[in-house]
Amino acid sequence: MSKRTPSELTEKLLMNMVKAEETGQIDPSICKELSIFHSHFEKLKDFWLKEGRDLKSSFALFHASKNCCNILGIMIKRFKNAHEENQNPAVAIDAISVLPSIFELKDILDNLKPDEVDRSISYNILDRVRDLRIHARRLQMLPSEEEEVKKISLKKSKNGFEAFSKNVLGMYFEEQGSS
Amino acid sequence: MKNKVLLDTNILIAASVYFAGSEVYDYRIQHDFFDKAMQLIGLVKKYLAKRIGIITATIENEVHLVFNKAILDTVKKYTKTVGRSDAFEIMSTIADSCESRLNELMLFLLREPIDPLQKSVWFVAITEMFEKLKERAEEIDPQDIAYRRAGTQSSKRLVRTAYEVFLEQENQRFAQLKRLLDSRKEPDKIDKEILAEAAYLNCFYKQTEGEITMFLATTDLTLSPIPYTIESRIVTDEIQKRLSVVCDWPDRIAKKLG
Repeated sequence: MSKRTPSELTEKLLMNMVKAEETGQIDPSICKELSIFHSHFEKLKDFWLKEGRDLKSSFALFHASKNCCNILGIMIKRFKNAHEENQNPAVAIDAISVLPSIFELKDILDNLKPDEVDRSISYNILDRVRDLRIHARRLQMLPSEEEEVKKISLKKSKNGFEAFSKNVLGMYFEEQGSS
Repeated sequence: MKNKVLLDTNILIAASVYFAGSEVYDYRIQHDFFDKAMQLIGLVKKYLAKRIGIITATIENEVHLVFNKAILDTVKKYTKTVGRSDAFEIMSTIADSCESRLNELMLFLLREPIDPLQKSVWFVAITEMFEKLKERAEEIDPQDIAYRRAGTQSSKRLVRTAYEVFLEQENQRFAQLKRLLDSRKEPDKIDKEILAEAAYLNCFYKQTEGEITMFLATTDLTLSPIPYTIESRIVTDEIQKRLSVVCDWPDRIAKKLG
């Protein structure tokens, strides 16, 4: 990840954020440090896309990595534009609020081995991702739905959504009037 | 009279499974019960100041659990069709999209705290009610009722035809009650908990706000009436009699309140 240990990097980044919040000046190293975490999650995302025997748990880990990646991507963009958009120190305040949940997920993802993940961990990770997204959306640290959907093709998204919808219907609902 | 509506997990799921790409892509996919659910949620939004729509922590937790399960199960099935990489990318986007929609919907609903002690009292009463209904379901024989009706209400020449017609009617009438004998369809612990919370909230609102009608909006056919030609609603009526909670479909509740 970097020559520094992950905890040193985390600490340095948070210190720089607090400094930015207090002084209203953004240290350019913040974006560099955020990019290190962004690339780390990119690698985790690619790893879980291909590795792990259990599909459900591998998906949960992929989903978490992807969302951390997306949030950090928006965070970096906001820091880069902070001066022009008069977002200083607001962006640092928002980042300080979101980053601890990302670091928590990072600790979990870094310490899990492909075959160690069971069902309860998968559910726990999906719950954490949901909470992180709710928090990030509130602070405008999440890509818009359109940006997220754009990444997959029309045909693929349509078929996937139909499969999901059918699955929910089969799992949880009966057709009205049938018995 | 004031009205309060507790929204069951299935209503929130039906309203969240919706994917429209009006700006990016021109298509729309939605859950089969989406329109019904949205009629009620539309009304809740319209009369937001009246605080009609309610959820509880039990419902909120259950809805997330169902979503997690549905996403993980679909990933497994869908991987067989499109391959791991595409299945992961697509399901991750769908999970995010549905969860975002669910969270937006929940902003319009009041999350009420529940007294656990009073809830457990109601839970015991509800369990007993379903046990008695099950006993009744075991005793009732629609064939016997249809046979007796055909013997007394039709001429000898038409007795066979009359029996067929009466049997269809009796099967419809008792369908909801007979569901209690099917372990896959009878109310589970969570269903009973949600009913207990509805009963508790009904008492709570009556004490604090005066006369109200408490609805439980649900697509669960064991709780809401089954809309056959002869509506099947023995369980629905018993719930209303014992708990003063009206279980019904979301679109029908919206019509009553609209």
